[in-house]
Amino acid sequence: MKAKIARVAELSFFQLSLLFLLLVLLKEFHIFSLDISYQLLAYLLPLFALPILLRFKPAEERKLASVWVILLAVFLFGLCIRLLPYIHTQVPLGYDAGIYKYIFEVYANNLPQIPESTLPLWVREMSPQGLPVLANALHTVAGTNATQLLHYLFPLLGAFLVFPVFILARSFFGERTGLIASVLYAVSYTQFTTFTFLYFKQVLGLIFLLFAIYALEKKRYVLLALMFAALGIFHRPEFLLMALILIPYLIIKRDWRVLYSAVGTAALIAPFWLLRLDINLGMLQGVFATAVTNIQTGTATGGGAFPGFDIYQDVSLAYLPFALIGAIYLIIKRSWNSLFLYFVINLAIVIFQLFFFNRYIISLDVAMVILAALGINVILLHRQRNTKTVGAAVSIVVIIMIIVASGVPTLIQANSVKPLINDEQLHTIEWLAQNTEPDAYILASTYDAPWVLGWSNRRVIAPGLFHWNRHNKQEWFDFFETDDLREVKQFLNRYRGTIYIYYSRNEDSYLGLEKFDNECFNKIKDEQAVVYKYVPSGD
Amino acid sequence: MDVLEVLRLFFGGIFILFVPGFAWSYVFFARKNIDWIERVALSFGLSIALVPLTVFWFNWLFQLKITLLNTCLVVCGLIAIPVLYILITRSAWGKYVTSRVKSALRLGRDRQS
Repeated sequence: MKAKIARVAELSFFQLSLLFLLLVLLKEFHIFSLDISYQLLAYLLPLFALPILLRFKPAEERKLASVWVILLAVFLFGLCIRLLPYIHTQVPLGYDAGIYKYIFEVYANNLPQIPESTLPLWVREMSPQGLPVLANALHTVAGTNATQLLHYLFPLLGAFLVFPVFILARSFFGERTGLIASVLYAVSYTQFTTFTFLYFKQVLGLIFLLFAIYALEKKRYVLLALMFAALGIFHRPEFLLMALILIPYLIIKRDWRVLYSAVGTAALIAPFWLLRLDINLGMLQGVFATAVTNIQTGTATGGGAFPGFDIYQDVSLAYLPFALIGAIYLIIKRSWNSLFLYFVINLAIVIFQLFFFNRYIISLDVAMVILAALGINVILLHRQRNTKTVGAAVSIVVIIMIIVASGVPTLIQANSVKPLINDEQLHTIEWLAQNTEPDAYILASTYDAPWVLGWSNRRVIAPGLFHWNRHNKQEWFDFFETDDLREVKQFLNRYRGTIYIYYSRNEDSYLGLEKFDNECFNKIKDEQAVVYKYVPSGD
Repeated sequence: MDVLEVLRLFFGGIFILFVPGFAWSYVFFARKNIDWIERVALSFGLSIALVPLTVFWFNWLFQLKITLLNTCLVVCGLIAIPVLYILITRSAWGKYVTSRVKSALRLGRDRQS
């Protein structure tokens, strides 16, 4: 009886997964969408795979021929979709482009020294030293500038992640799982969104995180110390994640040499962290305070700018059930390895909305991709090898459907994504850099401010941003709402010097231009972006 | 962008982002331990980690200015260390010293247990 139920569940799994993927595909192509919860289906599907997982015995895998050709093709695909948005524009994607450019240039302009003591507080808080120092090394030796790093190095690194994903998945679960994981990474909508948001440090952090876990698995403790240290100087949230992985790893495996790696890491990052000890400790304190508040009050603050978990489930629907199958397989096999710990800890941060939980979806997705590849390999490819009939064909069709269903929204996004401002609006900012007094201020909205900061070479006044702002939140609200010329002048007169007002005419950008349409303000540009000039008077 | 700039960009990029890690990858994994896909990927990861760490350390510790010459020297040093390490451990004298150190460590551990 038990065997019969298992057989029925097993057969149902293949039919249901085919049906599920068909529905997802139709939904992604906007052909047909059922009024049901697709997410619920994705969570139910792995239950039908349980009998297969319980009986599954891993067999020796055949070595695949020309792995590097497939991997190279996957890398090129990843690179092409990242370069596709730049065919029609020279403006970098994401909100942070101008901020990165400004930081790279501040470091480059202060060469041959590192400007640690003269950096404004917001730069010290926002950007660990790793990336700007790497940019300095590239600038001095290869002659790169900030724009080249944003246009070419960043897409290259995003596509390069295909290799660490492959290597890590292969070291845990074999070559085939590695290949599937790299393909899923390349078509992942979440990873492409990371690129469109220009999360430079996070992409580098992912590379180091995966190599650190790889080093841990291979028991290369010096390599682990190096990668862990790199996380500490490039991206602190992933450094924290790695630290959280190492604690249970140490308890479960009782591998005390990991402690030596941690000591080595501490020594390597000491000069970086000691110079910013107050900031880093404050940040750590803030992280734990946010976690405690979020748990106690049930609120979800401090998630970071990234689409939430609901959206994530939607865009990863095709491989979500297989990721769960992979996780269940590891639980059944009691395989409490570092990858499993990475998945569990990262999932806990995201599900319980502890801290920075939206941004942690990016690293969670990488773990999901690897687990999905494991699930696909265990449940579909092993079966395909053992059955030479219709089952084999079904397995291949299912895999293709997973890749297509995941890749379609990514390709659509790659084809349609636009920078937050257009080329002409950016040219206006560059015009300001050439045609205004070097000591002038430029006032901009929060939306436009990073671009103005990066491309104008001027001091930027923006609500809640940068170190030149002298007004609090309420004063900014009053400034936005008022039409009273006296109040506007009072607000601007706090800055000593000529002020230019830049507005990009984007619908998400707001300044309230009406208040500038009077004799005190000189409209000097009125195209896709508007520029006013204001010279403070005595009153 | 002229040809010289492109060449500087390409070779400078390889020099900073690949070569140091490639040399160090042989310290962590002997030739037969990993395939070339793994070694190439690891080389990039290691270089991106090692170069800023070393440049920053030298600047902090010795006030070493970040100039073209100094950065090149630091990266060359980064490449030379693993090369020397490999040469020494592969030489007869190196093998002898390594085996003595290993046996001394084993002896110490045996005495402790």
